[in-house]
Amino acid sequence: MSIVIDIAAQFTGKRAFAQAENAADKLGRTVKHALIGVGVTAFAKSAISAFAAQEKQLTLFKNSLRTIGFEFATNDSLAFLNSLKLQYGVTDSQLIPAYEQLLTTTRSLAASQNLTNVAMDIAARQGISVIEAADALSKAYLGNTKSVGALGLGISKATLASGDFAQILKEITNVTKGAASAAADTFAGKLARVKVAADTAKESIGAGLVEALMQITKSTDIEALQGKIINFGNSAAETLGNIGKIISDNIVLIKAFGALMIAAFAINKIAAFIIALEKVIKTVTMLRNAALATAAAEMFMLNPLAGAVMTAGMFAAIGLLIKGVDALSDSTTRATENLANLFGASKALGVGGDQGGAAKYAEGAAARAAKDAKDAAAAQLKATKAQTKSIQDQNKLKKANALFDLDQIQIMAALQNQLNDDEKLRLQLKLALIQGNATEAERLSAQLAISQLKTTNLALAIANLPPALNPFRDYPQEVQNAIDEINGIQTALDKLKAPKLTVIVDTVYTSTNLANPIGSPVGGGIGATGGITELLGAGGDQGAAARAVEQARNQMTNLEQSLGRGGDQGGAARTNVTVNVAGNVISNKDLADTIRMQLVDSSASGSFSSIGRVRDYN
Amino acid sequence: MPTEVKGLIELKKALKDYAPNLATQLDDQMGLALGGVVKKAQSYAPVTSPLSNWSYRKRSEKNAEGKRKFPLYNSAKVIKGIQYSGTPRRANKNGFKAVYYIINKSAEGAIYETAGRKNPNGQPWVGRKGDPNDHGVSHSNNPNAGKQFIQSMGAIYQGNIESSTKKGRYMKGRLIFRAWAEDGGKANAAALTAIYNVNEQFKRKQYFRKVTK
Repeated sequence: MSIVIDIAAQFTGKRAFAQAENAADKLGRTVKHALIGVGVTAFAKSAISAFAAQEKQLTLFKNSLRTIGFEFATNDSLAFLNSLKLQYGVTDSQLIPAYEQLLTTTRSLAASQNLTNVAMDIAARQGISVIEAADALSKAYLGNTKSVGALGLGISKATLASGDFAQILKEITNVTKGAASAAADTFAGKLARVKVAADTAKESIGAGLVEALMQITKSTDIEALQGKIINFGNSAAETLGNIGKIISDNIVLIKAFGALMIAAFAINKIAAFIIALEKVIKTVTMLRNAALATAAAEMFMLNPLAGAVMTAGMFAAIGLLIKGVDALSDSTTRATENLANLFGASKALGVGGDQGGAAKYAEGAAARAAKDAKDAAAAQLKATKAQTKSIQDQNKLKKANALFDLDQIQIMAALQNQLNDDEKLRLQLKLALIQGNATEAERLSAQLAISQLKTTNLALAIANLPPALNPFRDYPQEVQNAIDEINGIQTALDKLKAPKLTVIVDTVYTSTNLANPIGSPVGGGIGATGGITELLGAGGDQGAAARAVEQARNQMTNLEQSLGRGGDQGGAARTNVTVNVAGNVISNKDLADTIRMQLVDSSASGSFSSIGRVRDYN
Repeated sequence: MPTEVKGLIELKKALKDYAPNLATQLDDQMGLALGGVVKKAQSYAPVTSPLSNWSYRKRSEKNAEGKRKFPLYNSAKVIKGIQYSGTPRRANKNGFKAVYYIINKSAEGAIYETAGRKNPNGQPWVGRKGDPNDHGVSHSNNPNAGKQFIQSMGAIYQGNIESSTKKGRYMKGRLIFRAWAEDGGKANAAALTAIYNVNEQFKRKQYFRKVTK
């Protein structure tokens, strides 16, 4: 014990105790239910184990017979042993090894069967196992009489010492004959016989369970079954959660089932189980329908897609269950008949007096179960109503919530606009889909389909119309006319862009009066001679100057003559100057500049001009 | 009585999950608050055994019947066993679960702590004749063995009954109860203040938001 000073503590006590009490209570109930489950499971397990053990024993037995060359006698031997087993209440685990040993020793079917009977008598009389008795007989058959002597049957030493097996057997038979029958006729013997019958039934049930497992899982062999069981284990954890919910939702039915199973297993496991099985099947069927439908509905509410998947899985499971339950029903019917026969036989044997009570109790349990089932159905109906109300409430909430759904708002806004019927239908359908209104969506889909069909017919009608007249039949001529017009306009424009002007300029003056040559700027050249005269100085070589002037005059004359104007010596000669204006003559100044430049160019190219160029240098 | 702090366990869980820094802070503050008492209690543990024949030595720890023998005094073990803890203990019979506590774990420490608390003069003496399974009487050959053992331990101190679940003689002791009594409730107040402060900080949502960002 530690010594402690508490500083800060939390009170968790009473609540914890209450929880513990609840937990204990629940645990008690769980254990009770679990025990019921354990009863069923344990029975199924023991049945399968019994079947497995018997299967193993039979296989070994067959192998032994094959080894000694008696394979052909397997079925006969088994039939013989089976009859012995039921007649005397001796189990296979005793009979088969004994018979096997005797057959191996004697290598005779008749002898081995006879000795088996003797061995059973010995065993019944001396209270030993059939195996021990058969062992002793086998040894005696081979000459070793010690074991037979040790059995204490009162066989004389002389007989034993002689080793004569026939004599020994005779003495043994004299002593033990009828012991097995007498023993089987006692109460204990009868119980043993019933037990053997029950064990046989158990083995058969075990075989049936294994077969059922194989069939349900569609396994062709045990290996496949193993694999499927392992796979089932992996998925079971997930499934168990859902099963837990189903159980909690259907606890009343489960309780009825549990009561039924208690009744079945508390009295006589096999008999009552078979009686109750029919009721169990009915209960399971109800449970199955109610629970699975509820689970599917809930899953649909939570997640439609998962609900659909779950429902599909459930239908598969239900199919499987129905298959199994139907198969079980048939088996149960037969089992019930056999049970009635069994009880008849038991009564004849003077045992099984309690079976009637068991049946009565089981019937009472079945009645209670039926009542509980009725209550459960009422509860289920109530739950369904509550669920419906819940769905309606949810729909209302959803509707209210839809007011804030942006998509819906947009659609509603779009519907306020002017739309054609088709567009309106589409929008309304989209709205119905968003709202999850299946009825409305279906109706609108149909309407939309009709509308689309109508549209399709219209297109068909249009396609079937005769060819329309060509509205552009005269198009080429019109186009040509237009082109001509455009060309005309272009021509006019070209004319506007590049006007060709002819300007007549009175610029050149040719005169014989050298003393006053200057009449205009263009006559500067001529006048220049006077200037030159002045430059040369009047006091210079007058004769040379005069000659130069004369020469110049002559040249000018020649020039004018070459220009064809020689005849017009008396007045001002006219020179035609052609000015091409490339669209940049806008003002008078432009025109003057152009003319001047033209004259300059003309002068520069050697043509005659009368620009006063000398003056320009000044 | 200890202070009952409602939701303390939940607070510790919440701190651990959502505000580990605050949890660390609380641990640190509790260490500061309770560490002093623990140190003082450890200092009260005698270095050597109060009785020469009670000192630790190597021996078989089980008797002929396979039962545990009376533990020998081991100073290191006693000191090591005096601790404070914030790990909730199992609820007591009244439903209280100690969350923060100072504990004297070792058997020899518990003996030294509480010897003479119930019977100041030792248990009633019956000697070898009595039922060996009766642990409420002295089976020693010495009728005064219990008294002498208790006297050698020194005085026992009354702890502060205001701040513990225990009261009366159940708060008496020589190690942790003595240290607790001498502390005068300061450690208790500091511990509760630390819890209060951390709780207030945690309640201030900004810290919570900061951590969860």
